[in-house]
Amino acid sequence: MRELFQRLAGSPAGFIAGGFILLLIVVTIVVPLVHSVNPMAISGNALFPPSAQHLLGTDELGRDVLQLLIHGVRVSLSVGLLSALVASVLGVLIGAWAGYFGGRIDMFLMRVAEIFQVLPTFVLAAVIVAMLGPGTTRVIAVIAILAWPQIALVMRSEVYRVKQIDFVDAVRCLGYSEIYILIREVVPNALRPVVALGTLIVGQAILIEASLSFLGLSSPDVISWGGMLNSGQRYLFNAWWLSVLPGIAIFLTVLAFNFIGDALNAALNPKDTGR
Amino acid sequence: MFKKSRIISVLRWTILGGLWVAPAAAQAEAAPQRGGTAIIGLAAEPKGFNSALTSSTPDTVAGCMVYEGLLTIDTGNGKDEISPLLAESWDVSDDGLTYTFHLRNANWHDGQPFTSEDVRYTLEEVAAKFSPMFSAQVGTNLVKVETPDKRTAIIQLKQPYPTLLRTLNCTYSTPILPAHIFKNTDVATNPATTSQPIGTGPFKFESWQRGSHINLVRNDDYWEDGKPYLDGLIIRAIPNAASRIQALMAGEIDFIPMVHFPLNDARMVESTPDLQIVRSGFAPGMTYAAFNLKRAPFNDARVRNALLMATNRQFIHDTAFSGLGDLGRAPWPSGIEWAANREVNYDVSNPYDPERAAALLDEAGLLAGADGTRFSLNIIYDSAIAERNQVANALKANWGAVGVNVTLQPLEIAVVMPRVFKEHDFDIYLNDNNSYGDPAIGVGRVFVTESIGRISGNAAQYSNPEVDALFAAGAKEIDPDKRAEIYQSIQPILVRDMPVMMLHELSGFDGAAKRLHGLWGWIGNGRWAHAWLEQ
Repeated sequence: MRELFQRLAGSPAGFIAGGFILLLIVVTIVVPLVHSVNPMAISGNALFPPSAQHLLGTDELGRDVLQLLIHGVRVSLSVGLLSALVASVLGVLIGAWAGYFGGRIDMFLMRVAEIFQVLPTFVLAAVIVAMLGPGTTRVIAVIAILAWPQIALVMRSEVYRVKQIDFVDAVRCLGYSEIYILIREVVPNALRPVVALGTLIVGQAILIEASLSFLGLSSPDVISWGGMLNSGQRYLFNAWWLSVLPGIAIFLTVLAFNFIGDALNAALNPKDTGR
Repeated sequence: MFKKSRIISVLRWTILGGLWVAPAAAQAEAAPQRGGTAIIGLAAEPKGFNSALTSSTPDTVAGCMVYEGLLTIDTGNGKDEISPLLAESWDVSDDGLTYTFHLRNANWHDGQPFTSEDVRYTLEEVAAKFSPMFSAQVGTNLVKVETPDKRTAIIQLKQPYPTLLRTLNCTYSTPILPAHIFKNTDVATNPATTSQPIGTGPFKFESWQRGSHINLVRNDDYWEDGKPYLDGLIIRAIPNAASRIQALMAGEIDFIPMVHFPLNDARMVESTPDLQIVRSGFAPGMTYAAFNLKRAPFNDARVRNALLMATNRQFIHDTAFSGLGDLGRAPWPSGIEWAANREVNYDVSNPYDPERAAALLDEAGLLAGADGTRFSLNIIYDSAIAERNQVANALKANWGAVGVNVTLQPLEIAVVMPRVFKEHDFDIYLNDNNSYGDPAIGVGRVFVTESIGRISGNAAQYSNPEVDALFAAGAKEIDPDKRAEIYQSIQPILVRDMPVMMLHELSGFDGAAKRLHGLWGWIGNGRWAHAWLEQ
């Protein structure tokens, strides 16, 4: 573990990206505690450009853009992290089962995964949300359901590789059950690439959530960066800060998760010692 | 050599500059130019061309290029005058029961002559049965339409209805349809309704690329000499408001009609050199919030009064509507000046005062809980209309300040309509209402018992026999002074009972390229027969 962090810290991009994400998390938790202003509170100062009073300007209802951006982190991060987590758990379970036991179940699960993979993710997400109505939980569920096959396929091949290594037979000789061997011995040794991939899925999920909100498929009661973009684009010519700033926020966050994913991938790859 | 070419170049620029300035100088008395194709941008594609069956904007815009009504309304220079179209002139009997129309010599687009039989067929067999306005307003009041000769149509009424002339235009759902095409067919599915309209209007249907655009071409046989000026029209649907505005700014489209022109972009369009915003010919309208009177706590007048007092109408006016139009001050469009009661004023009865609002909610027994919330409500509105989302957000903030927890539910219009008007499944409904220039047509429907359950009718389910009786009396009163008195006496009751609260008085603006001329000063989407493009 310690070695992993050392190797992560050795990658400058990963280091900066990690710092950025940490900053986001801290800001999300700390700012509402210190500065308890309702970010949805309207004021007469509509469409004020960035100034000392409103560092990032105000929107069409006089709401402070900085406040909105800070509160928007919560939606983006929770959607990103939770849907990646759910997708990873689903993917690991399914992939591990399929890879370890093989046979008809493997065949069946992998065909299902392929069906999900050929579906155009974003279109499907948009259709589902448009039909069922917006809601953060719903968005997380939809993204997770659409993202698990990536994890499952990687997990399956890793488990398939690991189960053929001699130590598995050694454990088997000790008389442990197959399930025990899978959970205690095989899965932990197959998890490495999944962790990196899971991090990449966080970025994808944030982007899907933002895109859905941008298309108006989000609840106007919830502050989200995509939603800000959606209402801000109408003022592209007279209030650039309403669309440019949330755009930058999305860009930086997704980029950060991608860098972290790459750095993790490099750090966890046993073939590349990095030295 | 070098010098000479520079001089020439300077000269050339001067001349070009002069040419460029010339049209602007000539604009005041510019002579209309023939030719060109104007492109109209709408928020949605029409479903058909027959405005006798619907008052939906896309259908009306597309339909009323091809079809025409008997009359139109001249709204130029603040006027509000009934003006001839397919009827050249008309006489009204003294008892207000007989209207005689002298018809124009015109032809349908398929070459058949337009006759009084077309008028009889349309009014008796289509408009009286299906037209959202004519059937509701005239419907059972119509005795018959007589056709003594091909160029005369006589409408006989049971009771006087002084607003009849105002309803007889295409925009207000009474286009004249070709009897020879429609007779003995199902009007709703006839191709002349759905896809192949045959009218008398300035433009003929050419083609429709579904999902993209509709092509209309000049009617060379139009009854008005030398008109239309344009060679054709293209109607495009651009659902996203921002893309629509950007198409206008980029010169891809020339015109966005009022309902589909987002008001919060008006200032931006106005400040763009090639573009203009023009006060449209639409009648006074209002943005209102209807309370579901069948649900607690909105069945308590104190709650409704309190919510109005918690509402900052000035803020809504300044932000959502960019200061265009006026603040809502009464449950009645003040633009219908003769009928407005100036004594009725929210600023006196329900001024913006969150403290008083909170006190009134306390009095109604809706005390704030531990988290400061008194009760929760939802606001339902059409998600396609940009400024409505802003109004809803402002209400959420305003009402949140007095402890009312608001959930916003922007929905597709197709979902909103049945849910609100038929199923009555909502707490607060945000909507715009078009008065059509007369309380008998566009205002009464929001308040009378009869229109409960009708689309664009009485969402609040308000039912007060006194109000019903007054609206009924106003509709058939011939004496203008007495009519005004009747309508003025309704307004204090509507403030007291407050089934709806008016948030804003709408002024419609069209967004257009400056090179588009000649269109404005008429009811609805303007008179396209007179429109021309500067080339």
